[in-house]
Amino acid sequence: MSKFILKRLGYMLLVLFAVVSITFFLVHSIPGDPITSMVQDLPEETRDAYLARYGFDQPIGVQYVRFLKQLLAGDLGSSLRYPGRKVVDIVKNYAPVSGAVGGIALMIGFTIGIILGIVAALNRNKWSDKVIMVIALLGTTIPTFVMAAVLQYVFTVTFPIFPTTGWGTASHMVLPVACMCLGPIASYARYMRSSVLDVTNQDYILTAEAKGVNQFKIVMRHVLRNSFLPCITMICSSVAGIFSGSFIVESIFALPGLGKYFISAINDRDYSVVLGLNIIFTGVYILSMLICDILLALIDPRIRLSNDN
Amino acid sequence: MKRTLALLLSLIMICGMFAACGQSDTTDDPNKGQEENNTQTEPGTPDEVQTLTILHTAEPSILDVARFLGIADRTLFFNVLEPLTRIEDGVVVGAGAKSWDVSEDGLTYTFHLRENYWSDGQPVTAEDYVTALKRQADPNNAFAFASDYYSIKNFEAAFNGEASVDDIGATASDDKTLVLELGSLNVTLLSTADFFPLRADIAEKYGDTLGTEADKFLSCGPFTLASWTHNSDIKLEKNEKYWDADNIKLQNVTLNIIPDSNAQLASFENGTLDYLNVSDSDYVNKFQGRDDMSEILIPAGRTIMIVFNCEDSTFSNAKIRQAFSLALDRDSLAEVITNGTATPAYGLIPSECSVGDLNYRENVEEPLLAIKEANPDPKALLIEGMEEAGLGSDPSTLTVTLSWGATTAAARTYAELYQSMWQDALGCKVELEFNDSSTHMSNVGQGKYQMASTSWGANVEPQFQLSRWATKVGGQSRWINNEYKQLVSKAAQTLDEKERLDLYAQAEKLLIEDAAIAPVYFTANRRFYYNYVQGLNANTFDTTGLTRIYTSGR
Repeated sequence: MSKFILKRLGYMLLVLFAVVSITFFLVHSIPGDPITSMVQDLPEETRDAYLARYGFDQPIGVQYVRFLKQLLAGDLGSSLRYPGRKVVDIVKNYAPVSGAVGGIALMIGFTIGIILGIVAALNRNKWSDKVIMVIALLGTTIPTFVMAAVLQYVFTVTFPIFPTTGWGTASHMVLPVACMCLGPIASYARYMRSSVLDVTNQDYILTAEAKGVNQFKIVMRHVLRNSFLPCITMICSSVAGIFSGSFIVESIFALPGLGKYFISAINDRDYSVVLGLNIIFTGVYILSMLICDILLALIDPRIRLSNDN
Repeated sequence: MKRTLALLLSLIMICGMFAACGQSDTTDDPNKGQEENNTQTEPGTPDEVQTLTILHTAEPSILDVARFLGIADRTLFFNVLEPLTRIEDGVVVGAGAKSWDVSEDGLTYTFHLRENYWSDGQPVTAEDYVTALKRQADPNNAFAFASDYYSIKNFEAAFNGEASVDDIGATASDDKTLVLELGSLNVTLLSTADFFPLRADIAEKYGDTLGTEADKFLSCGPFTLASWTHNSDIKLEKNEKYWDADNIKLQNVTLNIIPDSNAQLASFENGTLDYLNVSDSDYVNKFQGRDDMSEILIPAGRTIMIVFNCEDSTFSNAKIRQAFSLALDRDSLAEVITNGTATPAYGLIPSECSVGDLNYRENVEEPLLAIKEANPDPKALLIEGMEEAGLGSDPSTLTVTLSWGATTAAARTYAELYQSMWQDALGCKVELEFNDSSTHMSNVGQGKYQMASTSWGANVEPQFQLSRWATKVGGQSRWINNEYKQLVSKAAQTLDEKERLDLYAQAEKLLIEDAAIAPVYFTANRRFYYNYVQGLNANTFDTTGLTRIYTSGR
């Protein structure tokens, strides 16, 4: 087990290095720089002073080496569009917001989705199954920005129950979470439904039924635990996405989250933020994949972590 | 059962399609049924509790007068800091400085400061204004707007690293007297540059992080910065120590940072925001129908234009440029793109600009009008220009590109409008290029375009807008004209208002006659406000911040 983990961590570092390097060269190849994207018709001297201060006037190779040195020293750099803010502080301040909204949405989405999926599978082809599948379809096909705009209008203007935008109290979280949990509800419902259907067709379920175990016990003890496995993989990759947040929901509800920050940073050509956030997101994603694999191995004794048979 | 379900679903889908095709009737009369004044009538009794919640257009970059990047940041500074002077009702008035003397040769300004205090109780001194200027001149800070201060002696040299920041022409002869020495005469100094103070010890204490949080910033203006939740809101409180605190009625102001336009409109509609600039025609109609809202049209002092790249092989010929400029139907463009709030432009300078007491536009006819009369057929002019440039005499062989700095569906519609006008009137082929605004600004700045859509805001005097084409490279148009440069710099040194106006007029005439740009329209903002908001006005260039606003009958 420990050898496995160490090997995976080693791969993680390699992948991180590759991702960071590729992103570095990609980001620097886009036309424009942080200051011309902000200030119209900048005089040449000001632009030169700005680039010199941040070292952008040097050849790309020199900049790359300097960036790597900084990275190894643990410094992810400072934002260019918002001078004086360090990338690490940006993550510290904004990640909790995205994390809270995304996390709660995922939990609600997961719980409701699983329940709906099981109900649909167990009542296969009856009306409850069809209704749930329609809900799942709507959840997948309705674009987030449509749902967000509609919810915002209906619940803040037509019936002014919730605040339109902002962050701070629990009521600020209701609408964003509602928007973001529809996707997970839909996908987990569908996934769980097919997984449960798969399991109920297995021989061991037939055996249990033949032995006279009651339906409820079969579902609780056998069906659920076995159909759960694919969903764990899905959840792990979703968890990684929580912190990168949803740009659309954060923009519409004016949430101070990381998703909006990341996308805006690309538009603003804020190199340090783009690179710094990219590293963090990649790292979180790889770690969550690792944890997922370990969890799976722990839950399902059939899965071996290493290749020795 | 299955059949009915399928039919029902297809019906829903078809209805969804039609929902998107709703016609919006454009308002042909912005004054319809609404009170529209330049100032509001009937100021009522101010409320007991004075609060205001409005929109702040973007998250501030950094609240440091030497490092900020956005125009929205400067707007915030006028509320939390006290500049030497402000522009009120279109004229320069004393703010941080109660009076000032200008020397005979116009090169030395002596400011006598008012008694004012920072939010920690320390008095605002002349040295604070000097500190700010020194930091702005420091090349390490890479101040984006440094060129506004180049008239100050040695400022440009210090910014280029050729002189020390201590050499700049700014000294504090005593706590309440500030002396500015100019390197070259600039009579419009106080209406083009803003002088904010900055405490040296605070700058020292916070270093790089100065102005990144509310607690790393010191206020000395009409309001203090009470809190700043990044990307969410900014809260201001009335500064009781302010020298003019008796005249400020607002006690608390909340600035909500909302980037999405639908969210802004929803916030205004449900009463969270107290006023908002609205351009969406459906919402304009909706708000005009509401009794609890009023409307005021505020000219934006901004010229939307097409710039021509005068270094390009096709557009280096003036007749070709002029032909493209004349072929535009400015009335249609203003009507369609802005729903009639904008005014067609036949010159560079908008009608809000003035030279001292003289309104510019009232005294100077827009140059393109006369050129239009003299050239009723733009196509013929194009053919002449093409022959001169050796491009043959058949416009259908000419292909040019218009670069646009947005990629939204609306942007495509507008660009296609220009395209169809040119193709119909001139018979040439116009291709469209769309980029996001950063790439577009970068391309235009580096001269990688043929024709580009852009806009320039103005200051009180025409000096600022005209000077955009007096730079070393000839501005965004790369139009280098020495006579023009001389006119603009002479105007900056001319004290007599009539003479100065005349010089500006000559410069504008050169710019338009040589068609370095094709002005299209002057924009205006339609601001809707709830009836309890008082004190709003339509003064485009005022820098009084929120000091005059109050609520009555909320």
